[in-house]
Amino acid sequence: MTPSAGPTSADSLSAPSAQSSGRVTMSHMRDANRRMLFDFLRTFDGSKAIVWDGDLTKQFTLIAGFSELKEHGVARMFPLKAGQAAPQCDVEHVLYMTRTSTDRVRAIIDNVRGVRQDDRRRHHAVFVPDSSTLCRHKLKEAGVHERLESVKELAIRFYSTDADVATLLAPRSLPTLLTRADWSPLHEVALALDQLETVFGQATRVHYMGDWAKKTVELLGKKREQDAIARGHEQTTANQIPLIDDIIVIDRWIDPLTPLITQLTYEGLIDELFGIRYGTALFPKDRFFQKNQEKTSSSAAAAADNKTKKVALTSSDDLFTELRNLNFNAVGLTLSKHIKYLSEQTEERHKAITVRECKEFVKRLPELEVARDAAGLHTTIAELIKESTTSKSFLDTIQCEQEILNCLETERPMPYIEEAIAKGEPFIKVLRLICMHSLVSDGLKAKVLDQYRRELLQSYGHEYADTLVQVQRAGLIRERGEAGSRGIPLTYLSISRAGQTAAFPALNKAFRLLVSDVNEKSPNDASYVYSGYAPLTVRLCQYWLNPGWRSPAVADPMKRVPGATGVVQRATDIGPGRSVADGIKRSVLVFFIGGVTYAEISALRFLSSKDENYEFLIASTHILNGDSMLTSLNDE
Amino acid sequence: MARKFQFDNPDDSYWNESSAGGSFFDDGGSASTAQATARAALNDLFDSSAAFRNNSKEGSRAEDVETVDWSGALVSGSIPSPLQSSRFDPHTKQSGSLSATDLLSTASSFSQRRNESKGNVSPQLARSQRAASVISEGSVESSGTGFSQLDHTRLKSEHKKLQIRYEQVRQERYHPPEIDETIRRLLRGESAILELYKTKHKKVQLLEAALDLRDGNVILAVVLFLKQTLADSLFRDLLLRMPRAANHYVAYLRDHFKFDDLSNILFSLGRNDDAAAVEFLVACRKQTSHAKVQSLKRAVQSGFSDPTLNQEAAIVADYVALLERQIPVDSSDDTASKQGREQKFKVYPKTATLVDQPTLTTLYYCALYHFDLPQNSFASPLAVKEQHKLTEKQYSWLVVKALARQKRWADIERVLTTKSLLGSAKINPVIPWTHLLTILARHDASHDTMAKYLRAIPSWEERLVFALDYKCSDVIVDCYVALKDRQKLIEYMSTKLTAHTKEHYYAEGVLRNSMNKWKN
Repeated sequence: MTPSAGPTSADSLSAPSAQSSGRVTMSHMRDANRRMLFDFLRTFDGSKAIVWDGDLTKQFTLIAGFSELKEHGVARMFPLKAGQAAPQCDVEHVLYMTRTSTDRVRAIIDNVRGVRQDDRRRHHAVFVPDSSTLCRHKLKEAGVHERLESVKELAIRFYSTDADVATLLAPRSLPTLLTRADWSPLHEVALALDQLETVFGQATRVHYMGDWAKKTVELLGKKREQDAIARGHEQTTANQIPLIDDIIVIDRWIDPLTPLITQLTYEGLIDELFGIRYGTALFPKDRFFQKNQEKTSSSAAAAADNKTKKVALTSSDDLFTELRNLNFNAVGLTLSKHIKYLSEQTEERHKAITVRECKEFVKRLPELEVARDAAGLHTTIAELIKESTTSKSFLDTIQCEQEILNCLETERPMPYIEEAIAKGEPFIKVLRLICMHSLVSDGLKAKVLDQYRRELLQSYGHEYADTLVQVQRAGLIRERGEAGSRGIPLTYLSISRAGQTAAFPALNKAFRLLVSDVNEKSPNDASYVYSGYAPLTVRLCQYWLNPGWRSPAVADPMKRVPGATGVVQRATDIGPGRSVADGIKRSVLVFFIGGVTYAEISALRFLSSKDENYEFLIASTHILNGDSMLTSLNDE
Repeated sequence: MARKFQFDNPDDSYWNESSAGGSFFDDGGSASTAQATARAALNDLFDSSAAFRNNSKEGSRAEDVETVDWSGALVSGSIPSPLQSSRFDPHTKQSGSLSATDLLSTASSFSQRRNESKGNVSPQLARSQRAASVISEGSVESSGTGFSQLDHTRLKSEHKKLQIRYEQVRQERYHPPEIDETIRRLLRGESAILELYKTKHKKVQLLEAALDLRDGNVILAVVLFLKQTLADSLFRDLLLRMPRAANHYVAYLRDHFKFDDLSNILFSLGRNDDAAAVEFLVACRKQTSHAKVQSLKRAVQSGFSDPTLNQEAAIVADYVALLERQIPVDSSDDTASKQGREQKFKVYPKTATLVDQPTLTTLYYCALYHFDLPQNSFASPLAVKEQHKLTEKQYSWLVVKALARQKRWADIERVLTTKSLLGSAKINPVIPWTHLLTILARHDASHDTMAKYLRAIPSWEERLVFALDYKCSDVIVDCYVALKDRQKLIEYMSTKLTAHTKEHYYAEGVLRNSMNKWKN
């Protein structure tokens, strides 16, 4: 054991403020998490076994590997399952680690009940990041409280999946906010932002857009106020030079339309077609060169099982960093350029004549090897994607989306949607289109809605009636003219409050969302990520950079955005932190409450690359796409 | 001897943590003065509590590890005087003049509070402080000299925290804390004794404050407390006035599958639509199909009888009708399939139950196995269409699919043929051509069958596209003729057709025929 543990958690989180040079990245957050985790493990003297909640294991791989856990006394690891008794092993502490969720408590109770009388080990329940009153209450109710040595929490909140992206990995937050009208996730967001500011220093300004964002900022303010009182003004983060100057908090539901549209960036398409979880995606293995698999040493290739191949998709892969933000139509060109460059480099060996030149070349060999593997990997992935994107079903779907966005049919059901239902295409895919149709047409006519509903239920089964109610409650499908659809109250009031003004045609006109002359290969506008559609959230960030939300130049469009907007100016003694004059861009954190898409992230990266003064860091409750968003509303 | 500190508070990790090795109690003589001081202070504490235990009840845990239980203090009811003299070393004084006695009385008031709270909410240390104590635990056990300074500072900070906590507890021994304070503590997962709020007025204020904060956990904690302590009618009244509180309570009941309570509360709140939705959900969760039908029927009678829910009621009634059709058809087919009476079940084995399949799947099933039954039969596809008001398009789509699988091309033609007023029959499918042709081709329709449908496509251009797709050469040739496209025809003939075949001769004949006019 090393005596490196700081005296308080606030200190162990404290910022690397000295590192004011260079880019601000989310790796600071990761470092803080690691410190927190290891300090936490150190508090249990002796050997430990961890009984993990499945999802949590995957999350924690973003923070530390098993070997590092081993170094901190973790001898064994088990999966946490309901109905199983505490696993047998010779350790001093057994930690049941799970996310804060009441249904996971059940599994802990089962395990602890199975602890034998002569068991000398100490059992601890550990909730990440908080132990809610309800979780504790349940443990108590079940009577296992007595057998537990302690109930603890490990406040790891942000998981950085990339250099500029961190999320709370909390996909349940959106359905909780929407179908439950339960605003508890906002507290989690506020606590996470608070922790973030402990690491990066207190931001000078916090901007908000939307009702959830407003409440979150308010809660954050309260939290910091209380902490300041509790600390007795001993040490405040305010006198630390902030690495992040501004925080923008945006509601996903300001713009529920964007996730429904098919993303057309490389990374976005990987997510739409294969699903990216915890920064990795699974692909059919037989499509990849056998050679790649053997080289498990390369970070990108690690085989998961026999059928699928797990590929890490992060900024550690240089080629992927370049490809991920491109419109898929530009990926082929970039890839072939890259491969050409590589072969030129390899050809250089023929020019190497002297010993020194040969040595130079040999030195570069491993690097070239990695680059070649990456090129092979992404060529295969691109081929896989292309198979889908050139299929008739995909092209028809994109065309249908275009027709909906251009408001071609607002009075009748879309013929394509009806056919998709009759053909029995996946329910979620059809639902996505219907939601789009409703949002763009500012609600569906009663007759159209009824027709859609009848056909959906006939084709997919009556059980889906409940799903439709949830989707209607979230405001994704509405009956035109009414605030809520026949007795189903909307949970996000701004959607109904906005009425006429937030209708899609008006928003489109005000923010130029649909762009016809988009250049996919060398884009000059963020709308390239959806091949001619710029998400409202991205436009808002663009206007924030230039000319600024309160500028009279954009006063008219800004009025049309549903929901509250404003800014909180923080009191700070040290004035602006790192100035632009240092040649470093200022960092702005954009936090999306309720999820963000990969295409939006790419669009924000595009804005960063075009702006001289600011650079965006992106944070969110989770990363989503249309399918995952609707599925999460569905399964309660 | 392994000893173990057992604070009442399960969350107070500092006290809960102990090392079996007993290094805690080892003499700290070899360590630096600071460490020695710290240890002395702790030993003081321990000694006093151990002395205490002698004249108090046995510790609550019957384990071979000896337990020192602080809660004994309360039972004995008095604080022994010798303790009052046990002060901390001057070294620690700077962080606050905290005495062991103070600590002890903190403990006793904890227990006292717990008794008051009837064990409802466990006293918990401040969440904000928890992280800090988590770190300090390790140091208690570590005995290396390197840690001594850390030990010292950590003990100091620990004392300070306890002192603050003590002040807090002392102040609220008899008086409930401010409502905002209680809510704040609930939010942080700290201890809060809601039972101290006795009047309805205060309770309502508590709920209002919780609602203002918008944290689901806090709201729920308060709502459940109100549910326990208020009369049912008052509680219901409150929920009626505060729909957001009601939402949280409803979600809680839903999560915990307390559906009876849930329907009751929803009905009494006048939220009939939600109550009906719950009844529907409960019915859908029923295991057997008969129970499901019964529950759904009941739901139509009760929840969905509200006139504003007419449409929803129709959906549920439709569901019932579907299930009532599926159940007898499924069971009679199962017997037929087992007895081997029906040839069809051998060719197309019935692998799954029909019950609870969607309407369109049911239609397909009926068209596959029972297409020839008269319309008044239960399993007739026409009867399904009639009862569930399926459109012509839905009907022919599924029926054609089922018939194509059985290669009943003549029946398909009959389904797709409409008779005009003048009696002339015409193939006029309501299904889009592309889908119809896909279905036929997938089931290996003959060239003649494909050609027949291709020729029914009214537009020549469209017909040509599909004919090219399905390689129907005679239709293709005819299309080129109709479109007067000689060059394309020659190109097609030379590239796609082999000489001296029937198709080639046909194309040659067309080209030679002087009746045909060409645009090129």
